[in-house]
Amino acid sequence: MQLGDISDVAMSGLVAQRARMATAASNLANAETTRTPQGGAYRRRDPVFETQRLGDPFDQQLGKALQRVHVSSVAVDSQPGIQRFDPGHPDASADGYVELPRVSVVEELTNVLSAGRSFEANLVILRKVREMAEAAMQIGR
Amino acid sequence: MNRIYGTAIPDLETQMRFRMVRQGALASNVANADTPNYRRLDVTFEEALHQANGADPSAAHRVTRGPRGTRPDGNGVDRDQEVIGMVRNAGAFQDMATVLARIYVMRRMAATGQLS
Amino acid sequence: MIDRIGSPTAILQKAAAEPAGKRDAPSLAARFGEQLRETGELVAKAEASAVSMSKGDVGSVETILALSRAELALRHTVSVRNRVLESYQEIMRLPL
Repeated sequence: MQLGDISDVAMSGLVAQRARMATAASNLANAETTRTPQGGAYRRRDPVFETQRLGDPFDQQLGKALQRVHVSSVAVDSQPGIQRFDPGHPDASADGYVELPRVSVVEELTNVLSAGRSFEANLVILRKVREMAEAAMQIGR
Repeated sequence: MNRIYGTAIPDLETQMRFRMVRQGALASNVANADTPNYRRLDVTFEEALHQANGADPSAAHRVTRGPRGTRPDGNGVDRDQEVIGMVRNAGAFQDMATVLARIYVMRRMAATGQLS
Repeated sequence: MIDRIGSPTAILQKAAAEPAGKRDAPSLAARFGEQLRETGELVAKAEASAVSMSKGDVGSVETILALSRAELALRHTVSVRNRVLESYQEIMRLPL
């Protein structure tokens, strides 16, 4: 296990949190979208995180335990949207109901804040690892 | 002459040249992340080619082209992964540069008897 | 004539200060030879670590630690060699 491996793990975290931010942004932007090419209202999205082994499994102890995070897919909400009575709406059905996305603005904003904090935490790791490497390079000089 | 440089200096020089070339390939990938039908480039270091043709520094560099992309524009480059690759590659280069400098300091000290 | 030698180097002082009982111990030259050999090993090990690092088998921290040790040992050895050389030159300059 080397310092560069730690950076790899932190960088994978950055990518994952950015995906989280992107899906939250998509959900927020489409919180009221009633029309999609697939038919029906917008369905909220969530990134699916999966661990990914780092490098050589025959490495020392820590090498086996260290895991990167990997966005394996983006899950689309399988549940249909919520029904709201609004006969005047252009996308209202025959009985006057419109399907709206099952998006909670509060929930999405929480995801945005959380993703932002996790992103910054990973940046701290990258910075600290770089400082460690620079300190090591100075040994004996 | 080999006694002056040993084996570490030539080996490090070779690897540094390789890393520099690879950095170019990865930079091309990042720059072309949105270019239609672009296929990613990479460079690998082939030890066998190096042994066979040591005089030419680029002889051991094998340039590969990735597969056609699955996106509508024919591009399959993951910009994030390319940037991560560049960071890793640059880090390896930098480590070698630092280590090479220290080796030169040591060999110079042994050769001249000067302690600084 | 011995007292006409100028300020002796640290090594000669050390050799003179050795108690009589240690006369059977390895000579200064042998000890220096041993130090030279060990230093050579440290340098070889450090350079081998550097080559492994360039291939990705060893970390940069490990290599820098090996290089630092080798450099310090080399510094000691070169310093001793310089002083031995200095005293040799002093002796050669003695009018005999």
